[in-house]
Order: sequence, then C-alpha cells, then structure tokens
Amino acid sequence: MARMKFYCDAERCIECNACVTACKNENDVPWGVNRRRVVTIKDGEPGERSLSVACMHCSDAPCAAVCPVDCFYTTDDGVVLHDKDICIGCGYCFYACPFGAPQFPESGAFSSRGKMDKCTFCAGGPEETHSSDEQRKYGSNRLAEGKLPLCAEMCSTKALLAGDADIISNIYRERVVNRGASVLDWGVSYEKASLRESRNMKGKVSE
Amino acid sequence: MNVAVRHGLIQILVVIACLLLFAGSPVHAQSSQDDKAPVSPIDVPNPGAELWNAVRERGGAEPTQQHPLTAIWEDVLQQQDTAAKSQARSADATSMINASGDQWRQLRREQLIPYGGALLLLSLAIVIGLSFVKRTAHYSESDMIIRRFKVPSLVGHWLMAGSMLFLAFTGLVLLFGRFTLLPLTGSDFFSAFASASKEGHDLFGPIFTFALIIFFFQFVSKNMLHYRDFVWMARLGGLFEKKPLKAGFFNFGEKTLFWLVIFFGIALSVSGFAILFQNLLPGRDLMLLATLVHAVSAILLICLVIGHIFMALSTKGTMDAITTGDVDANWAKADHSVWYEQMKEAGHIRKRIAHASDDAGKEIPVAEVSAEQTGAS
Amino acid sequence: MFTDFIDGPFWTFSVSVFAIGVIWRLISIIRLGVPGDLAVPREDGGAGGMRTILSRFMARPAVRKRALLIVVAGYMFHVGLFALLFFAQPHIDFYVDRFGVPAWAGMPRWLFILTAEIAFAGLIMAWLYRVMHPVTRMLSGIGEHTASWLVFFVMLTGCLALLEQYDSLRVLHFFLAELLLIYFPFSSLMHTFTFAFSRNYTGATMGRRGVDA
Repeated sequence: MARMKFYCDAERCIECNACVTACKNENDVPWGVNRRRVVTIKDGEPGERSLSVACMHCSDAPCAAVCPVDCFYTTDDGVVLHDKDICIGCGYCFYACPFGAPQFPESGAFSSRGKMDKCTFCAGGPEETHSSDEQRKYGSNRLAEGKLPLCAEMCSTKALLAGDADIISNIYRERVVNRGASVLDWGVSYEKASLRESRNMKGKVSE
Repeated sequence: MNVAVRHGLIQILVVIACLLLFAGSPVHAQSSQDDKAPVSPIDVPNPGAELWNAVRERGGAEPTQQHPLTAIWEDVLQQQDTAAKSQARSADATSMINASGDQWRQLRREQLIPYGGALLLLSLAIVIGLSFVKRTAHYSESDMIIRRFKVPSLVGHWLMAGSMLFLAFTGLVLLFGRFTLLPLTGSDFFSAFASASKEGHDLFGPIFTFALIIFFFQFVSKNMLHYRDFVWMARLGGLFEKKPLKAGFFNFGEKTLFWLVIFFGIALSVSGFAILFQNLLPGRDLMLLATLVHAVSAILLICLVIGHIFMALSTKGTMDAITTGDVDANWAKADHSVWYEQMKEAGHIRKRIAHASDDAGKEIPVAEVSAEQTGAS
Repeated sequence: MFTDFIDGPFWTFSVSVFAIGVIWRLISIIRLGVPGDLAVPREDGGAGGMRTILSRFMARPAVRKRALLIVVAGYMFHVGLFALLFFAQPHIDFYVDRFGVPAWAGMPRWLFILTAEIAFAGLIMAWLYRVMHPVTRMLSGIGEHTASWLVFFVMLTGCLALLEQYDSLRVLHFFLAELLLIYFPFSSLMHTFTFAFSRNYTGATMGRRGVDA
C-alpha cells in the first residue's frame, strides 16, 4: 500500500508561495486559515533557506492522539484526515502538532475557534467522494481522481514533492547525489558512496 | 583538525539530532551538544560538497566551514523562531517544528489520563468503602439550634459548589470521555455532548472564579490558623479518641480544605483564563503548561471535593449547616465546642421551631428573621 | 422529525400561546379599570405614574442595606437577560429569519459571552437566595420554581449550543425556549409587562394626592 508523503527540498524552494496560492484556490480556504505556508530562515542573510510546511501526515499523529473526540483517521494511503462534524474546536491538535498544521477559522477570546481545518493532501474528507458537502467542508479531492496535491503539482522548481514515500525518497536521493550535499550525505560520504553505486543513479557523480 | 573531518563530525551530529527529534525524544538538546560521535569519520573527498560550499561562500559572505543546512537545523532545533519569517500570519506560522507539543501529548496520554483516572477512581472507591462503615451518631438531637451560616454565605457556598460540579462534570467529559463515553455512545452523540461540555465549561469557568473570590472573602476570617489547630493536627483530629477535640468555628481539617480549595481554585482560574484567552498568550509552551496545570489541579480538587461531600453527607447534622444555615446545639457542642461556648455566652442559641411551614407567620416575625439572617450582607 | 416539529408547528403554537396569552391578560387587567376618584387631583396622575415607574428601578435604602446581594444579583440577571435576548447576534439572526424584521446591531462575541456570564451568575445567586432565605423560601411556590428551572435550562442549553454547529443542541435550546413561551402567560413571569401597570397604578394614585410614591 502506498504511503503518501510531502517533501520540501530546502535547496530548491524559492519562497514564491505558489503552493500556498494553489492550495487556497483549489480548496477555497477562507482567510486566516493557512493549510500550507512557506517559512524562511535567515531571510536576506547568507544561508537563507525556505521550506513549504503543511500537515506532514504523520504515521503516529500527535493530533489524533490528543483529540478529545477522536475525530482523526488515517486513510489507506497514509493520509491523516479529520471529521469536521465531530470536531468541537478545542484546539488540542494545534498544541500537539509539531508543524503547526491545524488551523482555525476564528481566534477570538473565550476560546472561540470554530472547527479545525488542515491540509487534506487534496484527499477530501469523510463525506461522499466529490459530493458538494465534501467540497464545502474539506475542499478538493484530487487523490480520488488519481491526481496529486495541487501545491506540489504547481511547484515551479519542483522543491515540493508529494506522493508515495518510496518514489519521493528515490527522487530526493537522486538529487542529493547530484548535489553532493545534504543531511543525507553522511551515508553518501562515509559508507563509501554505496547509495550511489547500488542504485546506479546518473548525474554529476563524483568520479 | 582537518576541515573535512570537522565537517563530517558536524553532519553526524545533525543527523543524530534530527533522528532523535523525530523520535520525539526529549533528550535531543543534550545529544546535539555531545562531542563524542559514535561513528568515526572516514575522509572521502566529496567534490560536490566542496563546490557547493564554494558557491555559498561567493559574494563576499563570511567564509564558513559549516554546512549550510547545519545552520538551518541548528536554528530549528533551538527553536529560534524569531529568525524565521513567513507570509502567513497565523499563530506560530514561523515555527518550523515544535517538539514540546509531542512531549505534552505523551504526558497527557501516558501519565495524566491513566494516573489521573486511577486517582479519581481510587478516591471514589475509598469513599464508597468508608460509607459501608457504620458510624454511630456523635450527639443526640436537642430542640435548640444555633445559626451557623447567614444567607449570603450559603449563597456563596452553593454558587461555588454548583459551578464547580458543573465544571468538574464537563471537564471530565473532555478529559476522559474519549476513552469511556465515546465507545458507548458513538461519535455523533458524543461529539455534540463534548461540544456542549466544552462551550459550557468555557462559559462557566469565569463564574467559578467569581464565586471563588466571593467565597474567599466570606470565609477567610474564620479559616485563620489558631494554636488549637496544631493540637488538633498533632492528635490526628481525634480519630482515635473517644471524644471529639476542641475546635472553633472550623476545625483544622475544614481549614485545610478551605486553603486547598483556594489554592487549587486560583491555579484553575489562572490556567483556565490562560486557556480561554490563549489568543493573547505569547507562545504555545505556556499554553501547554496551562492545560497541564489545569488538569492536574482539577483532578486533585475533585478528589478533595469527593472527600468533602462524603464527610458532609456521612456526618449526622452537618448538611443542616449548609442547607438551612442552622445547626443543632448539641452538634455544635460536640464538634465545635469553642464556638458553641462563644455562641452560648453571646446568647445566640434559640429554640427550634418544629413545623416552620405550618405557623411561620406567628412564630417568626419576618422583620426579626431578615435582620438576623441577612444583616452581614 | 422531532426537529421539524420543534422548528415548525410547535414554534407556531408556542408563539401563538405566548402572544394571545399576554395580550389577553393585559387587556383583562386594563378592562378591570380603576376606581373613580372624585377628589380634585392635586397633581397630574400621569406624571406621578411615570415617576414611580422609573423611581422603583432603584431599590429602597432599607432593601439595599439588608439584601444587597439580591439587588445586585437581580440587576445582573435582568439586564444580562435583556441584552442576551435582544442583542446577541444569534438571536438577532433568528428574529430576522423568523419575523422578517430588519437586522440591528448586535454585541461583539466577547461582550455576548461576558453578558451571558453576568446573567448566569445573577440568576444563580438570586435563585439560591430564593431557596436559602427562609422568607423567600416560604413565599415561593411551584410556579416560581418552575419558572426558575425553565429560565435556567433555556439559558444553560443556549450556552451549551454556543458553537452553533449542532442541530441537536440548537433544537434542545429552542424547545425549552418554546416551553418557556407557553408557560409565560400563565405564570408570574408576566411581571415582564405587569410591573409597569402596578407601578403606574400606585404612582398615579399617589400622584393625584400630591404624594411622591
């Protein structure tokens, strides 16, 4: 079974926010709700990097663990979704999430938040697939049409990758080898380049 | 030290730190500073990396031996959110990763809910067990009564008790409902029920705080410690003695309860307001702390209140004090002898009216009663 | 099905009972008339009546001194309930939807919640006072207790439905409000309207005699 993942390549992201725009447009996300955002570190300084962040669809999702009404579920594709009819807007998922993915339409006093909204990996929600209810509550269901999330599809530098974890990691591994540097180059450098050799990857491999 | 060796060392550290971080381990902070890496680096030339570093250093920037990603991960691991920027304006938008949320989740799921639930069940079990122990009445009824609480005090007590019970019930639904009620009722019902609990809890919280403040000022003067209380404490409240010990208006046990209720009530109010107005809080960590403080003090307070309710119901004559405001003179003599003597001297002991509702008009002149009972308001 | 019944026929029924009952009772009070006063009035009765209607909003010094709690709690509850009933946004939306009246400005949400809290604290304190004080306890009958419980439950279910997302919770609030509407004309809750009549009667009678009531 496929296991869906996002990966954002910090070496490629140019902070164009096209993923954010694509997400907002595709899913009719209201103002104030950021299912996806781009975070920039060392803005304007040497070593500036940007990353596009959304729900990472964790295997053991903290949000699901703390939800007092148990409204989260994981699909067969490994996408973490939630049921807005069950959500009571307590905000616990937001506190538990390492990535700040859960969003709320309101942020008033006396804990008025409204129902939680987050990235669905463009996989809709528990409503009937492609129904108007699903569109209204959760946005687009591209996965059911055999398409990947629009943020990744739209990414002009292909920094943001989405899809089956095996494929994504292969693509990224290939990039790492070509680039010659990444957090993974521990393995590349010190295990005698075994990763490169065994996968028979092409590109600017050091000879 | 060789440049490449240092480079490799740093990278190993970063990878270990990342792995630890993703494993949700709270020790990542120490390990990232650990100088002894488990794997000794092998010097393999890596032209790609050298080229990349050269590109990075171009343009007059400070030459750095550090891998560019190292700097990013250091920022991320040290939670230097101020360094990050985002177009998004939502809460915590500039935070890339937050390990404390996962620690909070583990505390909540692995400690708070099981141990908190066990503690509550244990106090219930103790109370139920004790209720089977037959207690003989410690006084015989007389036809004389003493006014113990005036009406404002009764209102203050029950306003706090009522809001506290409502908050306890709705709060327990939110903390334990998923594991106890949800499997029984199903999602649809439980969701509406939990939503009602959440909204009711949010709305009644400040009423509890209001009641707590009123209650504090109504009862604080009677709960100041007295040397008598230390005697009471030393002799364990006369638990193993035949005759009840000397006590004033409140005995040491009651005073302890008062101060604990005030203490936990303040903790609950402060953390509760932090949760209610979390949109004004500076950070998420404070919020997590507030929920933990709130839950822990709530559980402890509920345990105390279970004991308090048991004591009130199981001790003969005690409920009269807080329902009608009057107590039997012999009850006072037995349990609060010092107070009884004071009341006797002041001439506050009066005759009980047997059937108050039958001939109320004749027996209790309205003006007298209201002057006496509401005078302190 | 139950929802449809509460939203449709039962709503019509309860509003009709409320409207007809209140008008009936008010007309019957007016039809009783006042005994003729042949004496030459010293002052205008109308002015005296109006003066008393307003002046009785202030508690007498003796009451304020002896039962401050009930004065404060009473004001908290009544002012709070009035504001909730007419200036809470969900209620305004409801009136606009049901009666087709043009919308008016409601309270911001934080003020709405604050008002609800003040009203709740006032209601519970006044209610406890009623039950705890020996005199008011004896004065209260089944009618007063029914009214207290109904008002309390209407307010409580309203606060439980604050998320405004669950039809079941809204219908529960609505159902209790309808029960209150039906009960209203048959109970002392009529003081909502009749307080003005009784104050005006006293004020006008005393006013004609030149006495400031």
